[in-house]
Amino acid sequence: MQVTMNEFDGIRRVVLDGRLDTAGVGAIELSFTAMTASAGKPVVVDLAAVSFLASLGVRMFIGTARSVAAKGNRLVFYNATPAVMEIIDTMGLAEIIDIAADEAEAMALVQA
Amino acid sequence: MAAAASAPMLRSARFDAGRLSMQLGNGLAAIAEGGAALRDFCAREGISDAVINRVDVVFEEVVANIVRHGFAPGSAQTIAVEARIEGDAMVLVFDDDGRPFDPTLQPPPAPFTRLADAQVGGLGVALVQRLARSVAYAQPEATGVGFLPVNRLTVTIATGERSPPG
Repeated sequence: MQVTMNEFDGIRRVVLDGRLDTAGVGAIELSFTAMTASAGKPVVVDLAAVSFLASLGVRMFIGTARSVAAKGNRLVFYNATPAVMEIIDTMGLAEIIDIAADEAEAMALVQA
Repeated sequence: MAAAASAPMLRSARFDAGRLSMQLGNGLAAIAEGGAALRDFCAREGISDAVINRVDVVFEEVVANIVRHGFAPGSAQTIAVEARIEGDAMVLVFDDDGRPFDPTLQPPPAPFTRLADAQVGGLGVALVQRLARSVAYAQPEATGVGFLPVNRLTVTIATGERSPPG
């Protein structure tokens, strides 16, 4: 599991790559939290390369969304694969976290 | 001094027609190693990618829960997993000799409505129950010697149509 980031136009883009299973979350949670919660600006998270999501990953998403919101910014996830979307939908995560279909929608949402 | 190699957590795996039997050790590596064997079994049985993902998530959640909630000292610290095809379903049976724990008795978390109020406890059990057709807990009778399971969780997942087994 890897996490990388870049920035443009005042938005931080974080890219996750791998399985968000127990080991994967353990490997990147601190880095992911640091890259998102401490950004001090809107954040979009690209999930295109995330092949697996379960409850630990969901918990991580909720925690970081709270941290970003506490600083008055928005966090939007996008490009989820069908496997990841099934877990997002099953847990009703889109009720409390912004989930966009693609980067264009994510950029529009995060700046709204 | 060279570090000792870690013992594999997947202690044994046996594939038969329509059935996989595994014995896992008590460690988080059991999730990765056992999960890989289970995904391979599902693919061989012609199960669709969507259902393989559900099986994979259920396996991750159940085994992680067992490992996290601890084994009593003196137990074999073993998790036995059987996966078998029954008609239009995959039946997963998890036996462990950890502390008695019935996850089906946990109250489900409240539905998400507000980010600030979202409960993050119990999500794993809730996810398993939502992905599965059925989840049942039992405490098997202890017979014989060696591994004596304390907890048995049986999770049934609909498989839908399958490709011819490869």
